[in-house]
Amino acid sequence: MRSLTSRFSWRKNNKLNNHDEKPKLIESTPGGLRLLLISIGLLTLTALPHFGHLRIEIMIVFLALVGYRCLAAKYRNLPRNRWVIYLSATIGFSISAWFYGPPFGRDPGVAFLVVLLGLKSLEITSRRDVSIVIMLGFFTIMTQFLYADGVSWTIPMIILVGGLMWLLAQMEHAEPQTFMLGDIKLVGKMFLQALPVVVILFYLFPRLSGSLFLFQGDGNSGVTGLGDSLKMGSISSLVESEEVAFVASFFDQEPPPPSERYWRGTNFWVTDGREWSRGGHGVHLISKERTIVEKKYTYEIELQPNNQNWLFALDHPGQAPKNAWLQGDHHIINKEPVKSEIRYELDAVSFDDSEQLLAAEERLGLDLGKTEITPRLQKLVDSFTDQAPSSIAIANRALQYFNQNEFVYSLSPPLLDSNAPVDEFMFESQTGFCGHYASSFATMMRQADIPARIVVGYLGGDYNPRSNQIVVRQSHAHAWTEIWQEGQGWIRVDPTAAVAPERIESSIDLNGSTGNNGQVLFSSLNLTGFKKFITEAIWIKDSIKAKWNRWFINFDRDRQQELLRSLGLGNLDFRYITIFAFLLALTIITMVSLLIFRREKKPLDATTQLSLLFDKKMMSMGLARGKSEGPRDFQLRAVKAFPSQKSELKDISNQLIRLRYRMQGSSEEVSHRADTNQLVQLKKAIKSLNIKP
Amino acid sequence: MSLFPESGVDAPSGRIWDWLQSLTRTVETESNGVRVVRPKQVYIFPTRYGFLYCIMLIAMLFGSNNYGSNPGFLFTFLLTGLGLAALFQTWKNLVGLQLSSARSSPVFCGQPARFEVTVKNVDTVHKAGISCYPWKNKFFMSKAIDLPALEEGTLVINKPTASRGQMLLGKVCLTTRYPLGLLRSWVYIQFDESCLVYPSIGEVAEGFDYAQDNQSAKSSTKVDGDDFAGHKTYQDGDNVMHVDWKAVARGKGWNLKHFEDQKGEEIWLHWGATSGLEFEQRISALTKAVVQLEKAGKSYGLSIPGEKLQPSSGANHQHLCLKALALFQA
Amino acid sequence: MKNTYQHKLEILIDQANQIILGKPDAIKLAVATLLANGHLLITDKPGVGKTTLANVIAQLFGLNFKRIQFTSDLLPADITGVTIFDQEQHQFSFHQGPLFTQLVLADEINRATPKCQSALLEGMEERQVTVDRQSHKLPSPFFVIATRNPDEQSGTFMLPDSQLDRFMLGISLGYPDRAAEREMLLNPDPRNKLESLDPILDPDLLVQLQGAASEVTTSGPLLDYLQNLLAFSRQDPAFQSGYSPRAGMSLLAVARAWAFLERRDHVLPEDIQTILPYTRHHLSAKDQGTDLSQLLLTHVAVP
Repeated sequence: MRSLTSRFSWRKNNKLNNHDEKPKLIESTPGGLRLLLISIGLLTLTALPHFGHLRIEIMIVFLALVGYRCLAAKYRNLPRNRWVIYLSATIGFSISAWFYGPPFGRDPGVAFLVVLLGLKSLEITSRRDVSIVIMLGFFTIMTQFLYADGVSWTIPMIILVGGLMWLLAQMEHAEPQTFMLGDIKLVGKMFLQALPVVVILFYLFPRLSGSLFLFQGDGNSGVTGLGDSLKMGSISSLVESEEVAFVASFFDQEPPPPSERYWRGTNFWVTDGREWSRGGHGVHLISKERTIVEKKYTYEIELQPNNQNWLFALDHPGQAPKNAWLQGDHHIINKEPVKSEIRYELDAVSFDDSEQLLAAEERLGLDLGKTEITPRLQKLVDSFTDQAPSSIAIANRALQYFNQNEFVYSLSPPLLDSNAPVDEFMFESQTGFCGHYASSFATMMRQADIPARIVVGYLGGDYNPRSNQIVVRQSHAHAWTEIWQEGQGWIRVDPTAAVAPERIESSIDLNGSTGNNGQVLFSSLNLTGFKKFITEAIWIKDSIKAKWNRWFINFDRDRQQELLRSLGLGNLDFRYITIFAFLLALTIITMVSLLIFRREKKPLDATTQLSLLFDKKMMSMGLARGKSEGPRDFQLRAVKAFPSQKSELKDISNQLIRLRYRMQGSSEEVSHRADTNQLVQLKKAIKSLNIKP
Repeated sequence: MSLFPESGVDAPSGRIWDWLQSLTRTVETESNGVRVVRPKQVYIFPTRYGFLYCIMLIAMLFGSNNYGSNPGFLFTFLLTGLGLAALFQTWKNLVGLQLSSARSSPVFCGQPARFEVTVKNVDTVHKAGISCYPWKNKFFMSKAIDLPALEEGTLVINKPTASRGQMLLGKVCLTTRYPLGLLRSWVYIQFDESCLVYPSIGEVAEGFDYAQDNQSAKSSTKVDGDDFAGHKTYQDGDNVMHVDWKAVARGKGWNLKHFEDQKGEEIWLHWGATSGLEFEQRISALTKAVVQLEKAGKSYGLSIPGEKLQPSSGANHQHLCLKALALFQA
Repeated sequence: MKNTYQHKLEILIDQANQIILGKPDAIKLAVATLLANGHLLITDKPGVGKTTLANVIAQLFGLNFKRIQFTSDLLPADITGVTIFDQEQHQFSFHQGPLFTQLVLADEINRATPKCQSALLEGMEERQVTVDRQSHKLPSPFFVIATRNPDEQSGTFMLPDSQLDRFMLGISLGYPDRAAEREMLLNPDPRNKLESLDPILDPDLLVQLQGAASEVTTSGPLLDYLQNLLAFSRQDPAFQSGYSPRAGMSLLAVARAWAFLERRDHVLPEDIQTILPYTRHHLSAKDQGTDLSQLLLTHVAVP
C-alpha cells in the first residue's frame, strides 16, 4: 500500500535509472576522482622503468597524454572528444613510428605500447574503461622484463601488480571507494592462493629452447670488466668497482686458499712499450698434450656479462666448457662475447713438469716490439742476469729489487708520460699497482731473454662460508706474469707480491679505503667485533643473492632439466611436455571438482561463527575450551587465566552466552534477528583480544 | 505496447535452449523460506576481459620464452595464478548468500514491476558487486550492491509488464564479476512470488462519458469538467490527495485543487458504459477513470460482471477497484 | 516478580538445610524436581534421613503429606483406597487411600510386590488412580518421593526400567560428613524442629512457581546439546539402553527448574551437566562398572 500515492506520478519515473543513461564520467562519481588519479598514477608507474630504454620523446608523449587526462579531471571543460583523441593518436603514433618504425620487434613494439597506454588513459571515461587500461598496464609491465635490466624491477613490479589488481577490484564495487582496506586484504589473499601455482608453473612449466619468433634480443652495452689491453693505469678504474664479476661455487669441496685464487682471464703477449695486449685478434696457441697429475677442484662459475670472449678459470683448467676452446696458454676462449650471464663448470688440475716451449711461444714471449730500453734499465737487467743459474734466479733478483727499494703500491700513481714508461716507473715514480709491476717485470724478463707473458684476471675474491662460494668483484682485478723456466714450464711470478704481499692474502678494502696519498689499506680475514658482524651480514646477503641467482635469475632449460632429473621426472622432452600438460589438466579438473563436489557444508550462521571464533582466539592464546565445557565454566576459567583482560573477556563471553543461550530459537534464527552492528562489534572485540599467556 | 522488449537481447530462445535451461541447477526455496546459494549451483565463465586476459597471458608466455626472461616467466605465471585465484573468489562471492522472498507493490501495466529481495551475507568477509536480472532479460540488470561481512542489502529487480493480472517473477539470475571482472559467476533462482499488475491506462481516448450511467442522475459531469474551482492554499490537515503536485513540482508552492462538489456525489463506473470499445480497452478506460476520479477526490463505485464495489474513495478503495479490474476475466 | 519467588525458594532451601545437615545438593535437587513437577527417587541405606527430607519438604511447601511403608504383603488397595458398600446409603462409595495427598513418601518401594509398585506408578504418571473401573483424580500438586534400598539387599523386588523412568531424578543422600554427624549426635531428634517449621509456600504458589520455571528459555544451541546427549546415549555401544524421549523431556524440565533456582532466565549447558549424574536411573550400561554419566559429560561436545 505504501506506494499508492507515488503511483500517481508514475509517468515521471517510468524511466529506469540505470540503463538508459550513458556510463557516468568517473570523476563525477563520489570518490571517483581519487580512484582515477590512483589509476593514472599506477599506470604511469608501469611505464616508468621504460625511461631507461625508450627514447625520451616517447616518454614525453606518454606523460603528456596522462597529464592531460589528469588536468581534464580537474578542469572539466577541457575538450576530450574523439577529435582530440584522434589527433593525439596521430601525433603519438607518428612520433613512435618516426623513431622506431613499424611496431615489430621489441623496442618499436614497446614504444607503440607505451603510446597506446597513454592514449587509452586519455580515453578513460567510466569506471569500466579503467579495466581495459589496466590490462594494457599488465602488458607494459611484462615488456619491462624483455630487457636485461628488468630483473631489478621484479619485486617493485610484483607490488605494482597487486596495486592494479586492487584497482580492478575497486572498479567492480557497486559504489567506488568502499572496502578499500577489505580489497587490499582480498588481493593479499589472492596472492597467497596464487603462490603455489606460480612456483609450480615457474619450475615445471616446460621451458622451450630458442626463440619462437624471429626478432631476437638487442645487444648489451656498457658492461664492465677487464679490457683487452693493459696500459699502465688502466685497471685502476676497475679496482674501485664493487660490482660482481663472477661467482664461483665449490659445492661441497674446500675452496682454494687465498694464495691460489688466481683467476686467469687472458694472456697478453704483445707489447709496444707502453701498452700490453692480446695482439690483433688474439694469440691462438694450440692446446698441448699433457699428463694430468691431480684434479684439484671442480667448480661452477656464474659469469656476469662482460662483452669479452674469454672465460675465467683457476689454474689450470682441465677442459673447456661447452661452446668454448681451451688454448695452449691455458686461457679459454668462448664462442662469442659474453653478453648475458652464463654458467659453466670447470675442473682445476695440475700437470706434470714436462711442458714444451712452443716455437710461437718463444717468438712471442721474447718480442719487445718498439719498447724503448734505456741504458740504466739495461744496466739493471744486466745486474739481474749476471751469473744467474736459472730464469727463476733472475726473477728472484728482480723481485728482491722491488722489495728492497722504495716501491710503493698505490691505486693513484702519478702519470707516466715519457716515451719510456718502464724506465720512468722503475727509477723515478716507483709508485703503482699490479699493472705497473707486471708490465715492467715482464719487460725486464724479456730483456733478460726469458720468455714472459702478462696474465690478466682476478686475484682473490670474497669467500662466503654460508654458500661455499667465492664472489669475485671488479675490485679484485689483477695482472701478474708468467715466465718460462726450462724443466718446469711456465711458472707464475707475481711482482706485486714483492711490494705488497698483503695484496695476495687479502683484498683491497674499499670501505676502509685508500688512506692518505692513495696508500691502500688491506683487510685481512681475522676480523673482530662489529666488523665481523658486518662481514657475516654481507655473507648472508651474498648467499641469499646466490640462491636468488641460482633459483630465479639463472633458472633456465638446463637447470630445469637438472631439477626434473632430481625429482625423478625424466628428461625435458616431448614426453615430459605431454605428461606436464596431462598433469596440469588433471590438477585443474581435480581442483574444480573438489570445489564443486565437496561435501556440502551448511554455511555456519553468524552467532555460531562468532562463538567458534572466540574459541579459536582463546586457543591461540593458550586456553582451549574443553570439548564438553560449557560457556560459563569456560568464562570463569578464562577470567582466571587472564586477569588482566577480565572485563573484556567477561563482556565478550556474556554477549556470546546471551546470543547463544538467552535467545529463543535456533542460532540461524537468532543470527537473522540479531543486530548486525552488534555482531560486527563483537567480532572486532574478539579479534582485538590479545594476551600473552 | 510495452516500453521494453519482453525477451532479452542476450539470451537466445528456442526449444533446445529451453531444454538446456531445464537441466541447469536452480536455487530452491528451503523449508524455512530462505534461499541459500549452494556451491554446486554456481556457474562461472570468463567475461570479455577474461578472454583478453588469457590472450595476453599467452602472448606474455611467448615473449618470456623468446627473450629467455625469467622475471617474464614469473610475471606471466603470477598473473596466471591470480587469474585462478580470481576464479575461486568470483565463485565464492556468491556461495552462501541468503535471499529472502521477493516483495513487490502493484504497478500499472507497461511500467516495470519492482521486486525487492533482501540479500544477506552470512560470511565474515565482504562480498561485492552483486546484481541480478530477470532471466533472459539482461537489459533489466539491477543496480549492484556491496555486502559487508554479516550484513544485508536489498536488490531491486525490475521486470517488464506486458499484461494485467498477477505477474510471476519466476527465474532470476544473480550474478557478479567481483573481484577482478575477468570472470562472471551466476546462479539461477526460482521465485514464486508475483506482482499485481493493474491494467494499462496508456492508450485510452479522453472523455469517458459517465452520462451513459443511467443510475446516477447527477453524474453527467466529466472528470475534467467544470468542478474544478481553482486553487486554495494548503494548510495543515488538508487532504494531501488534493494538493496540486504538478504545481508543487513547478515550484509554485503548496496549493490545493479545490472542487466544488467534493462531497455528496457518487459516481458509478459501469462495465456497460464502455460497451463501444474492445475488451481490454474497456478495462483500460475504467482504470483510467478510477485513477482520475481518485485524483479528483471523488467518491466512486465500480460495477463489473462478478464484482461490485460500493462508492467510496481513498487509496485502499482505489487499490481494490484496480485489483478487481486487473484480475477481471471475460 | 520472579526474583521474589526465587528469594522465597532460597529461604526455603536455607531452612531445609538447617534441619537436614550437610546435604545442600540433595535438597536443591529435590526442590528442582518439585518445581519441574516430577518425582524423586532416593536410593540409599536406611537411616540416612530420607524420611526427614520428605517431611521437611512437605512442611516447607505447605503440602499435605502421607507416608506409605511398602512391605511385601502390602496390597494395591492399601495404597489407592477401596470401594465399600455403604449400607445406610445403599450405594458404593470410594474410600481414598493414602495416595490421595499432595506429597507421598513411598518408603522402601522395592520391598513391595510389583503389583503394588505399579499401582503407585500409575498414580505418578497419570495423576489419577483407577479402582473398580472408576478413575479418581489425585490432588494437585502431586509429588512422590520414593525411597529404595540398594538392590543387593535381601527381600526386595527389582524395579522394572520402565517404572524407574518415571522418576525425574534419582539421588542418594549418603552418610553425613563428620561435622554434620556431630551435630546430629548432639541433637538426636530433629522432629521437634520439624514441628516448629512454618510453611513458606502454599500449593497455589507452587503451581505459579512451576509455571514460571517452565518459561525459562531453552535456546537452539542448548537443545542441540541436549539432543546430542540423547543421541549419544542411544548410539554409544557402552549403553544397554539410552534416554527415553520421556527422560529427555524430564531432563530439560529439571534443567529449567535448576536454571530458575540459579536465578537465570535461560538454561546453560552447565545446568544440564549438573543434573546429568542424577539421571542415571534412566540409563543402563552393558558393563555394570561404567560410569555412564561421566561418559556423556566427557564425550558429548557442547556446540
